[in-house]
Amino acid sequence: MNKPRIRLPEVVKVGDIIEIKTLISHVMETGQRKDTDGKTVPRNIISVFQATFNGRPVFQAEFQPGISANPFLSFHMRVPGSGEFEFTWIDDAGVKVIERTRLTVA
Amino acid sequence: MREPRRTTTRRDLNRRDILIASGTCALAASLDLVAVIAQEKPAEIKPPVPETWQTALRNITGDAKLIEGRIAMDLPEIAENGNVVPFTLVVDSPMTAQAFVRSVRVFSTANPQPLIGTFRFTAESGKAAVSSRMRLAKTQDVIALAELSDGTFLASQKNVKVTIGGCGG
Repeated sequence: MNKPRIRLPEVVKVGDIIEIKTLISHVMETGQRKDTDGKTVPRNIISVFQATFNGRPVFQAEFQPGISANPFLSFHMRVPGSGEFEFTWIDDAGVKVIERTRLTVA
Repeated sequence: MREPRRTTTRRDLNRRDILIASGTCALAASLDLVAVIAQEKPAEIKPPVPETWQTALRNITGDAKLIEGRIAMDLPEIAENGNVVPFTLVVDSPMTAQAFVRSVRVFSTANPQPLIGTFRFTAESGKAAVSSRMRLAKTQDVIALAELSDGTFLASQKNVKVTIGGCGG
């Protein structure tokens, strides 16, 4: 998993409902595919994504193999004030990526 | 009181099945549903256990009646690449602490594994909307299932024609 990309609106006011977009590169191996020797390639997908703001849960996604490679997500939050987002991706191999982004209200 | 409600649910599912698939599929669906009502299985199963989308759906909703509509599904009518099919789901909800959408699930009716993803919201989400991208093995119906904070389930479906199927191979 590479460094994820996060997109937030540039100008934000308290009470706004903002869209948060995240993108991370990951093969999202389904566990259904066979390699050239006919052996099944073991499943390795990002199974869980979590987003919190100042420690409070905002959004969570649980992926199954039906989610495309390099999973993109867009979701929303009602802005309570300035604070810090924490985004977490965890895959089947146990790799965990955590990204923190500051949100400052105007 | 319970018996007529259950009959309604089963008839609705059968009618949908007949629309999307053959008569044999419809028969199988009604048989599956009887089995699902009798037994409770854990919702998310890790290995790709072959299960029908009807079973997967009923594992989540149990015996509850599904209310159709109120989920806006933005999906392409024709997906050229089944590996990357963008989707946006928006549930009509005030998203307050008293009434919000707990989760939205996406089901495929023709992929090897029916459940595609679960998206969970809180009252802080402000809007019950999610976008992502899914794999579709072939032309099929995609079903969105929303669970509200009062325990109600909403369901919508949309047909997507897939030119080149996803899911590897």
